[in-house]
Amino acid sequence: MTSLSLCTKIVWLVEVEKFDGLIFDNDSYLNYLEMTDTREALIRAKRWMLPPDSQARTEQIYFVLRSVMTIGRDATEETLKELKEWRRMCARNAEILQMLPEFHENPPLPTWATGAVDQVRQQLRPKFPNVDEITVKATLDPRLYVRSYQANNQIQISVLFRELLRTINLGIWNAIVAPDSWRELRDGRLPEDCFLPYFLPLYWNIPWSRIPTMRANSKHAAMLAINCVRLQMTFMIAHEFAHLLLHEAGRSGPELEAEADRFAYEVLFRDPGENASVGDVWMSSRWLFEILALERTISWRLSGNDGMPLTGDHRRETLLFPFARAAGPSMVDVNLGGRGLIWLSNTRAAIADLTPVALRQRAQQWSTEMMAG
Amino acid sequence: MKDLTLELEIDPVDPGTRAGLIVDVDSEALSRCGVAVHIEKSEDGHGFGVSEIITIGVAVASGVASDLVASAITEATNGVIRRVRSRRGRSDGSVEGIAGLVDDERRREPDTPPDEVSKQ
Repeated sequence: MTSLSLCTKIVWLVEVEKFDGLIFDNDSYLNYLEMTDTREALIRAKRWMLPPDSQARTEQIYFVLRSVMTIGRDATEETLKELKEWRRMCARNAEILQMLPEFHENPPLPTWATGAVDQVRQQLRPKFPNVDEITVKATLDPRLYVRSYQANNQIQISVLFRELLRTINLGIWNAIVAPDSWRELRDGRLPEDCFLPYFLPLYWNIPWSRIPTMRANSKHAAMLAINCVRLQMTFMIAHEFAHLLLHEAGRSGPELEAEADRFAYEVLFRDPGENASVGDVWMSSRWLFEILALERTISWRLSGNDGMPLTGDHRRETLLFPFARAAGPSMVDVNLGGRGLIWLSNTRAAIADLTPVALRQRAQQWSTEMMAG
Repeated sequence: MKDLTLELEIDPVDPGTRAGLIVDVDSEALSRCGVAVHIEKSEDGHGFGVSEIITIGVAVASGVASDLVASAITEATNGVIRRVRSRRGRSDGSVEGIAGLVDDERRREPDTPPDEVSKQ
């Protein structure tokens, strides 16, 4: 991925280039794609052995694989053809992966997770030599979660979570780099529907393959979304490492969560990793909590609840401030991060203003559209 | 009497509460409409975010309407139900959604595999 320098970011604020191509997410699922190389013949012979839930899982794997490629807003016919070809390959590979016993029982860590886990382990090893005893497992659970289990010293990560998060980050960057979206926000025209269809398969029987494709307004928006999600996933993984390294089984509560957050911020601010600045850590962490709050608001409304989610997340956010103050993010990052935050919180407020019935109606419209393809 | 299994994803009012207190199996709302609920399984560990997965077994008398069962489960939950999964379906945590799943499960023969059901 191209280096994300400060000067480049400043240029993006004033100039949006035409983007008619495709961006390949190198951080994502290269190892998954390699697994399918020589297995097709074997799989064809075993097709009859498919378990009953295999279709849903195949759709989930397809969603994950297809997310590797992001298409530009101004895509040409030629680019669209290329994307269709890529997706055909993803569909075939998803079917193969679903039938591989080693993948079905225990999906390997995708490339992005290996990178994040290695980064965290490397930093913790000098102080916690037992860090390598903790195992990390990928799941296809349709849920926004990273979770640690003391009983078997394991962290589990949903790969679907990462791809939803990347998509939402892309939506934020799209709004930031496109002057039109920014003007709409400033004038009070809020995109309250814009994230709804992406979350719906979490609650309803909508196949993951039907999630709409979010196009990138610029090449940089796509790259920045990948960078943001890398930092967010690393933050959550480091947070779970903290629970396993510092906390006894059976204990829980806000103090423990705060301690795990501080631990994770320390890891990230000490070394944000390749192509990232402390400003990126500040921005992506703030967005992460706001995205989760937005999703909770949607799920509360869909559940028929017209209150606001009672959440400690806002208090948790303030734990970031001492780290950010000490690290000193650039004004450009503060500005960009602030724009994203305003956009997200206004979107959340617009959804919160809807009654449960109104949101369900909108969700129903989306569902019908998505199922119609 | 019909026994169903539902997997609930819940935002507890107080994160860190144990499963037996998140879903109050002795709730008056449940006994009022003749629904018996027991906790079959709850999640271990710490999760980023706040939701908890709790699997409940539900015994419902045949004369009780599914929307009453759904209301009672919602009322007995100390938190917001985000999502519900049954053996064959999924819904959001709304009373209508849960009632739909309960209804669907009650109409099925207990041992009919999902594949057979979809052909019916």
